[in-house]
Amino acid sequence: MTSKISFFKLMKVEGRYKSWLPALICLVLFISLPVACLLKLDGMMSSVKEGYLELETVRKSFQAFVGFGNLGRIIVTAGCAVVSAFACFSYMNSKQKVDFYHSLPVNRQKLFLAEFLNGLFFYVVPCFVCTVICIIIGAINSLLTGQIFLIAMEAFLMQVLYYLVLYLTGILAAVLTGKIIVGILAAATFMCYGPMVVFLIVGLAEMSFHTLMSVGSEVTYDIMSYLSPVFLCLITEAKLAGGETSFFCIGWIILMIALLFLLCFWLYCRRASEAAGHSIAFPKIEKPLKFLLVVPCSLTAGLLLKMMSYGSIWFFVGIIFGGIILSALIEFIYHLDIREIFAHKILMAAAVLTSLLVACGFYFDWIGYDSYIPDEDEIVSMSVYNSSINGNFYYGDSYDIGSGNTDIRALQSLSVTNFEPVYELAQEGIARLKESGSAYYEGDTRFVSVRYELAGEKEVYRNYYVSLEALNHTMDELFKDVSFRSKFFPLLGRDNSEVRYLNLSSVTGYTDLELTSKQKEELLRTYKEELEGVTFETLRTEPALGSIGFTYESRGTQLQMAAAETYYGGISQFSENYPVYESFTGTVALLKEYGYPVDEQLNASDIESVTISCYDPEFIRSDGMRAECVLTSEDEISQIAPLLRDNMSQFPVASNSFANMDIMVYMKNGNTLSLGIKSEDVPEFVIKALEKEFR
Amino acid sequence: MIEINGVNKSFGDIKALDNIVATIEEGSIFGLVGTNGAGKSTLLRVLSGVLKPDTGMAMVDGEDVYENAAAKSRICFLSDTAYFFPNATARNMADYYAIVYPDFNKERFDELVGKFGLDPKRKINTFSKGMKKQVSVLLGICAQTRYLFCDETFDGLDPVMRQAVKSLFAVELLNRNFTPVIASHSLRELEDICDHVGLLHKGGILLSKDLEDMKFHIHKVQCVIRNPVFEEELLKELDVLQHEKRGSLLTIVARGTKQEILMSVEQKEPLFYEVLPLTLEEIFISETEVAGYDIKNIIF
Repeated sequence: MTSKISFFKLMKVEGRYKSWLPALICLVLFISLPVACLLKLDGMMSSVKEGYLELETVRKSFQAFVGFGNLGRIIVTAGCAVVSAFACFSYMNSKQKVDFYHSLPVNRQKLFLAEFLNGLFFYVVPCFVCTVICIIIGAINSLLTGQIFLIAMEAFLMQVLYYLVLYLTGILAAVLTGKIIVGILAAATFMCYGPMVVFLIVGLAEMSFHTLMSVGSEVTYDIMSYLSPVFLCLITEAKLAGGETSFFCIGWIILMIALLFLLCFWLYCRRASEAAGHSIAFPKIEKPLKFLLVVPCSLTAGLLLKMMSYGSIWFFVGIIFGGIILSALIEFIYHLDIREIFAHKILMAAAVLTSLLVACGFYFDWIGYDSYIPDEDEIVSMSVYNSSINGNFYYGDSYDIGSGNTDIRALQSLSVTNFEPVYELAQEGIARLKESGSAYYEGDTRFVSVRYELAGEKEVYRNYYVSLEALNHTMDELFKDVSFRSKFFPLLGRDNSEVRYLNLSSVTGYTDLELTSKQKEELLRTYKEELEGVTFETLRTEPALGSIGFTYESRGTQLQMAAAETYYGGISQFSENYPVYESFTGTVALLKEYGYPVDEQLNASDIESVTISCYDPEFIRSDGMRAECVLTSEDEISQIAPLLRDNMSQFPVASNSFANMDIMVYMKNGNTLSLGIKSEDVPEFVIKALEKEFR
Repeated sequence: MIEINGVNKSFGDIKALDNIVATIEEGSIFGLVGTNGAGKSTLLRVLSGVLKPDTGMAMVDGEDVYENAAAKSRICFLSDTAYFFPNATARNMADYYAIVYPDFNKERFDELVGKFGLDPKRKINTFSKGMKKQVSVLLGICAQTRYLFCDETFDGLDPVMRQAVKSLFAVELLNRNFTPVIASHSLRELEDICDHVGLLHKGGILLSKDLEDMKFHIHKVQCVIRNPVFEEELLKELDVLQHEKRGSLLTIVARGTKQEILMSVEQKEPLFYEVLPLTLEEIFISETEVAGYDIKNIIF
């Protein structure tokens, strides 16, 4: 048995005969780190000297380069990992080399460790050196701080973890296969299989389930990060760049490293020497592997064909053809003999049949996804969301840094325990779907998202098409509860200090509200009181005099805020517009007092002309041009001016009562206003003018 | 001692080794002969610990050799196509062998490389096939292992080098506990070096015998006996493996000592008789024809 000393000698001499690998890694890392850093900073520092750029901006850019979020570095790390894995372990593909190494008086365990450690050090040492060089470059340019140094070291350690996870994935591929090309294919499969299956399931669900509500990309990405080493690295890096302290992700990476190491070690020790030169080193996995590849890939082929065609038949045709072709391809990869491509026909048939069964399960909704509705006694709360009704607002933390899907946040914020009206709405949606066989918009239907909160904090989300009447009825019922109104208008739950800016939009135009702190407080207090008492009927029928815009800054943890400053140039802001109705007497009075009257009408004598174009179908010509009329006479302008409303101020659902017209008001002072008018208010002379122009 | 106990090895549907039972004693040169695909290389790989037998065990000095570094440290395996590190010189390879075989004799290696006319600083990938074989053999010998497994090692060596290697083996045998096992498809090549020979055919051992023992107990006699009756009696008396008559000349290959056979012949009042030397090939053919194999078709 080789002694401890000779183990390191063995490592050293093995490393010597792979010296091209560390040389290549050094070169790649040197170019991608210190050289790239120098190139990046050179231009920026020149701008600093010339006064075009602040040193702090350059410092943030330097931190982004040596810290988290440097995508180029991850790509380089991934490349180095896969190349190292095959360089160190591809000897197993050669019978000649296997005879040599496996006849030596060295246990497989020691051989594995020697190769593994060599591959690790070939990356870690040059990466550390290059990181230090970058830090020195930063220091020379007066960009280095203690914090940046720490971040750079943390980022280096994370790169080592990413390298390990990808390196071990490459080793796994090398151990399971006996030819380098097949090994590379296997490595690519390991990286992509999980995400491919997730995308496939999402694609099949989106194609088949009419009531499906997407839970958002962050959930999908989280799932993919558990199933794919490369996604795990990318998503962890994105989270770290976003300022999230992702202990769970880091822990998962470490766990994956440990599991992969044990698996690779075990398989390596069990791998038969005679597997060298065979496509798959463990014959027993050939059939399960083929099955696991053919099923999702044939389903993917079916989906792709369906997307490129019109009829559903192509979905099933794609599955059958895709299954047969892929099965043949896999057999060719196994045997490298064209005569063997239709070997194991029964397995091929079983895989295609399984794919067809899965496809039917989705396509015909055998699991009853669309018709599912929980029993009422299972439900803790429900909520409903419609973009016309709720789309103006940001619920919960939906615009905060890293908050994710805004619709989900909205539904979570709008939940009610007296959910009967929402339940009836959901039942109507299911019945409508059952009757029509598919979900689509027509006439008076509206698209809603519904959330069911079940016992045990389980959530179920569905989308429905419901009638406008049913939706209005549901909202009317929900609005009877003052606690729902507090949830419906997020402003009512926000602290006044979060409001950064205010602006006012009315028929006379848009203006920022320059108020003292006291004025702002009083305005907010008054407006909130009046808003709390509004009914849904007011929202959908009454035209607003104007609207107040409230601007906030996104919230986040200190780390998230710092990351946003560093990587995105600053904290983002978001605004919500709330209507001001004639019944908001207190608000209207205060605005007038502060010099921002909202109830002013347009002075006809200030108007030069009014152009009205109508986009009702009966006023659109065959060439697609709309009927348009221009009012220039004082009489006509004075008749229409008081009827005009500010479009932007109207609550979205109220715009249904507005005419399908674009009204451009050209003022004598050169300003232009884009306004609207209620359908019932449109003067007869305007309709006649449009009809005349249309003919 | 190497013991092979009921070793079976298959590659898919191909049975490479079929219940091999054999013993290789220390201190002798064992020749493993067989046609292409007989299982020679497979058997050597099993004995070297490269391949794991499906059933049975290959033991070196009482230890199972597979995944046993201690047992493997007594073995050096020279494959038919030896592997050398890219751009390595003979000296580089010697340095590597010195790490994995602690008893490797570097001085002896340098001396032998010089005697064989090889440049120790030249890259091995620039050597001819024969020169690579020479390096491989020298590395194996200088590893100073107890057992040296040579797979078709003499192929590719010119006659002079072949003799040089044979004499090296002889010197090693004299100086230390050394047991080479040489696999070849050429009986003629093994004849003048091996003490013990095993014949492999289709994964099974047909015979495994001491060469001198084989030669001592089988002889070929040519004679002319006038009396046909005496001729018949002679054929019945002797343990005849093979006989052939051309005209009046009778050629007999029979089992038994030389004296026994000649005594029988002399009693039949031959006009003429003489003992002819038997080649290893003729002995094998005779032995295996008895076993029912038409060996002429499988050994060339």
